[in-house]
Amino acid sequence: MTLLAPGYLAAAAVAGGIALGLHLLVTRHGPSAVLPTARFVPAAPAAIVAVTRRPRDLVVLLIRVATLGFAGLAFARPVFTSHRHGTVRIVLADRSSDAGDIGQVRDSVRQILREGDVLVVFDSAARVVPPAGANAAADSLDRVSVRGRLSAALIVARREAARLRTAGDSIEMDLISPVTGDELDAATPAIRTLWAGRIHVVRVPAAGDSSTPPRVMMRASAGDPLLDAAPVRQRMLGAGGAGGATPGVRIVRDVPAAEDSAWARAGEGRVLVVWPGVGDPAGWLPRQPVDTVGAVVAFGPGPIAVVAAFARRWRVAASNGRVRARWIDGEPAVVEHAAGSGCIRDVAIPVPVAGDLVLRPEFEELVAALLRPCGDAWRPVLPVAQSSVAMIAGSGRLMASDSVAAASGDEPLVPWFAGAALVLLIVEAVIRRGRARLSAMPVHLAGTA
Amino acid sequence: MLAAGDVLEALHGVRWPAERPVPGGSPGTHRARTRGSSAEFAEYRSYRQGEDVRRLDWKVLARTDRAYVRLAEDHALLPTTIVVDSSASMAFPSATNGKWIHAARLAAGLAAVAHATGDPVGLSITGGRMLAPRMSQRVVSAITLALAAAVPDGTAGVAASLTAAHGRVAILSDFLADADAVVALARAARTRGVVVYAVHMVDAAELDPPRGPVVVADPEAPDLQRPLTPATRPAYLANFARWRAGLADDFHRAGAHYALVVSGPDGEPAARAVRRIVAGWPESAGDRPTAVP
Repeated sequence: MTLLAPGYLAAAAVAGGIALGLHLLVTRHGPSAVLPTARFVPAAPAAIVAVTRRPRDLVVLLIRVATLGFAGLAFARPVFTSHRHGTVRIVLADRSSDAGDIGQVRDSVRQILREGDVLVVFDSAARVVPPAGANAAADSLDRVSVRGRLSAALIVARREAARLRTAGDSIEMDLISPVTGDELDAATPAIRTLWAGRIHVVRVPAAGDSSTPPRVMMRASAGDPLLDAAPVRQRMLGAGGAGGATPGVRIVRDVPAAEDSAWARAGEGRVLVVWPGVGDPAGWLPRQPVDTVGAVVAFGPGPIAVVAAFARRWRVAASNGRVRARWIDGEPAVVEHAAGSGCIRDVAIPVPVAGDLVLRPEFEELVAALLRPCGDAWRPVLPVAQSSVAMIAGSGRLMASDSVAAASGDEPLVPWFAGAALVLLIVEAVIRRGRARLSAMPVHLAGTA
Repeated sequence: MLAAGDVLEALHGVRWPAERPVPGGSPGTHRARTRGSSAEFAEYRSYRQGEDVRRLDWKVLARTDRAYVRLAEDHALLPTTIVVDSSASMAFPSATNGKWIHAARLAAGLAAVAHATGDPVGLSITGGRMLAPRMSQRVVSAITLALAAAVPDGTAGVAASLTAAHGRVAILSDFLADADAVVALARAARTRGVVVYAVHMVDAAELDPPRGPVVVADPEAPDLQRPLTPATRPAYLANFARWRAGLADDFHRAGAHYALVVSGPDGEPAARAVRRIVAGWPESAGDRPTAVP
């Protein structure tokens, strides 16, 4: 058994000593004597405080000391400690949209997770996966389209640590996450300090990392001006840029077919960009007459504004999609619809054949933004400072189990000690009341009682 | 029984003369303020119309043809009343009643001295028996018996004994009950020609109380309880001394004689105190001569 707050027991011992000292002090009137000139003695309380060797009222003293002892034990929160060995591991897996490749997260979890470990899957909220289902959960780990919140994950891990404190002598935390700036908030450093030990951080690529740009497949005529845009040209399948062989983005510059939609639905995170250069896609509302607008605004890593004389040919309905770019007058210019695991992005921005618009940097930024992943990942992934990652990781040893406050259910003795203190308080009150009643009785009655 | 024999024996031959001429009255040993017709010639005075012609000195009238009255020194008695405080505060120390016994022996001694001077002597015990002044041969014995029978108790003060006093009054008291009233009545009595002797009875234990922590109580006011500790003792001594000095000054201002008499094992012997009182010395002094017999 150990005490979680031994200071209270020490305080109770001090209080018991004070109680003993007070019981050694007796307030008495002392020997009395007749003195006719007593009136010349300065007026003062007639009681005299003296110290005796034998404590007065031994029964009450014992009750009080015992009460203080039990109260001190209750506040000291004694817990039973089992024979603990080894390290308990808590694995935090980030499945939020900040994670660029959920497969890497999955692989890391499989590599780290052992029998008996606790898996905590988190995005904007965290969920504990019991050890029994941890491996299955790791295999079926899917990426969700919400941003991650590291604070929520740390809080859940801390709570799990309190529950697991008796399972091992130290607790290890493995964090598998890209650790982006969006995942940190103002409370994260304070919450991190609650974990009194280092954290093993396994960083996976963040969504939108330039190191793994999805490949682009474009169906267009040979002279399509969009082919000259740098983001398209560099990421085209078969180009010399890095990336996998499977395209993540398909740009359709003509009328999309059912096969295009099926492609988007079939793969996770696939983006079908419907960006018609010729013809009218089904469901699109042609604008008659063609309108002219001066600029389009979108959001990539930052605000993107392209100023040009755009001739708007369609009205894009945004009723069942998310607007990703707007014309300068507020009308949607790009709308994204979810499609299975991927999405379909309708782009109603005409690409002029003449001129150098596609070569201008702001237009290239716009194109790059239109090729970004689906959902919340459309927003930029803020980079995180290395110092913040170091703060999350920490240093030193693993967190000791004893440093974790036990959960309320792990202190079975506390209510017993508190109850004993309460009972003793009542007993003392009864004894004192009985004595007061006895002393108030007439002498002859007291003698016969 | 009050053992006052040694005191009376020691005071044999001691007299208590009046400090100044007394009012005229029954013939006695004290010179009176009036002129009489005794054999002790004093002076001649012209005859006043209406006076008794028998008081004319016929020989002087025959020689000088002028009417003179022959005056002689007159002597009168000085009735003396001994007032003894028998309140509870006089029963101190409670084990011996030393203060009361000492006061009673003093009273017997003063009565014996006054009787020996030829004055009628009476006794007034506060809240108790009262003997009117008389010249009987047994008056001292009667006073001694009355004192022996008295028990100090209660809270009665001595002021009441002064309201109708005449002649000479000796008050033996600790003046703890009604000092202010006694001083005021002594001043009033003095204006009536009454000679007041204030004998302040103090026990040695009151001047040097116990040093240990003890709760002291006033026997005349049991609710008054004060802690007498080493810390409060100096203040007590100072307060008590200041009060005694103030009381002596008050009696002197009132025209009364004041004498402090300390009882107790190391107190002043009763006979010596009586000699000092009748001589008019306020305080005990070993080097002073005893009272003139």
